[in-house]
Amino acid sequence: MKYLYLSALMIASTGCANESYYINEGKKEPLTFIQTKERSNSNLDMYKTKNGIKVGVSDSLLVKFYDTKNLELYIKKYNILHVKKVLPNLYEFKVMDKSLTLDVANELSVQKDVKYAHPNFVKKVRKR
Amino acid sequence: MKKLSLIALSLFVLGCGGGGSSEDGKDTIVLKSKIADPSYEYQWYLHRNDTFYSANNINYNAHIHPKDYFRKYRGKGIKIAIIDNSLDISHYDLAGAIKGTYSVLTKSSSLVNPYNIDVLDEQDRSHGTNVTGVVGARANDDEIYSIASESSLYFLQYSENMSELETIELFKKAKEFGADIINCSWGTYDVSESVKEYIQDLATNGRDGKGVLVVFPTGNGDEQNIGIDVSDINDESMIKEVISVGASDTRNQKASYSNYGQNLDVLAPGGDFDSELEKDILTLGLDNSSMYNSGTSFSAPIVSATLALMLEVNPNLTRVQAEDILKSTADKIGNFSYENGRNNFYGYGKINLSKALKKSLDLR
Repeated sequence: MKYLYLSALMIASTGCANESYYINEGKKEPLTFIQTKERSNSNLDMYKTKNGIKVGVSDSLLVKFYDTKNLELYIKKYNILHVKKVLPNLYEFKVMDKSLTLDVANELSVQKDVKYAHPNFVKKVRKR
Repeated sequence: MKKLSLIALSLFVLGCGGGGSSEDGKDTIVLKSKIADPSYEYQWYLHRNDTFYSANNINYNAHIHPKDYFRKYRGKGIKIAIIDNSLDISHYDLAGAIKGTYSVLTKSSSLVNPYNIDVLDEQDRSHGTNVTGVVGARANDDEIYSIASESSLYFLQYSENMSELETIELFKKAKEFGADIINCSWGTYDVSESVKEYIQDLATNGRDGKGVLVVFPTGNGDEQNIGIDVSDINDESMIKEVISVGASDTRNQKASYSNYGQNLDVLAPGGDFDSELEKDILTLGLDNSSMYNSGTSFSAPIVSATLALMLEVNPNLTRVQAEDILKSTADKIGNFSYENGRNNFYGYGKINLSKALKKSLDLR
């Protein structure tokens, strides 16, 4: 069942590559997939936010829990790897393929015991 | 910003005499020695040198009104973390200033040399050194003067392309170093919930519950360097608990490039950008040099250093109190009306160092 679920997620994410989103403070933030040679790093998929900011998505995501009692359940359900505890109740996980990162983060975002979940975005730091 | 130029100060000849300003503070304690830094008289953003101001047509009040507080307080005992791209750690005007370092590039205390970092623009190599100079160049007979010349500095090197985890890692390091103030002369225009939450936590619970003072500039406008409204942009400078800083110029008005918005708190001098070099911010460059640069990147460290003096005179100030003092003592400059003390272009106005310190002292 787990693999069927993941396959469905992968098909869904492939089919909607140009209409992706992530959830920020409870709101869907659209992301547009972009082809770029800017960073020759195959570990990142590049997207543009609605404000035109380029963000990279790897296989890493950050999840903040209100309560961690279901943590193992989520690890099994989404076949994710627990990498480390970053801060109290904030965890880094890895998915099996970076094409799943947004979908897994979005699914986790709506769980009652999850405060937020988002990819471990890579962003350009702009000097001012 | 893009305009900057390395200068050899030995060639910097102006007919300014003496270096003394006409500040009129009345001394109640023993003053430190006279400011000997050779470029002090050209640092219009800190104080007024009448000859220099007149020669360069600078508004009489474009500085931050230090009176004699520079000779009384220099940020001693205050820890300032600077998160930036690189540092000329051996610059002689920073001798003894840097008490700790960390780099996300090396995952260690070893910083990558400015000449070895990835930059889109060659001029960007010196950005971290420029910012650090404004915060805490030492008071000596070299180069420039800075407001917090006796503060303890901690330099944290970021990566040009940085993950959320690496950003959190840098703020965690700043906390480990015991930073009272964290200066971030950068931004992403897209802060994530995890980074935002950690900054808010530091600003609320850090410094033994008094709150760390986290300072971000608003940024330098669009592609034409015209300031934009960042109210609805998810930027670090728009976090409520962050002290959000825009730039003023030598006209003593909002600099045209300075971004603005609902959470803009205060302005501080940032240079004119499209004018003569002398109207930009003179600070430290690479290889023991001085140079000019401009932008809100340099307004933020002026505020960070001012906060260091406020904490020096009153270490019990909470982040909320310090921010309130900064806002309530700011000068209402510009041609916009202020409703309930602020507007979206100037925030609460331009910082006034002497008023902020006096109020900090009064609250002791």
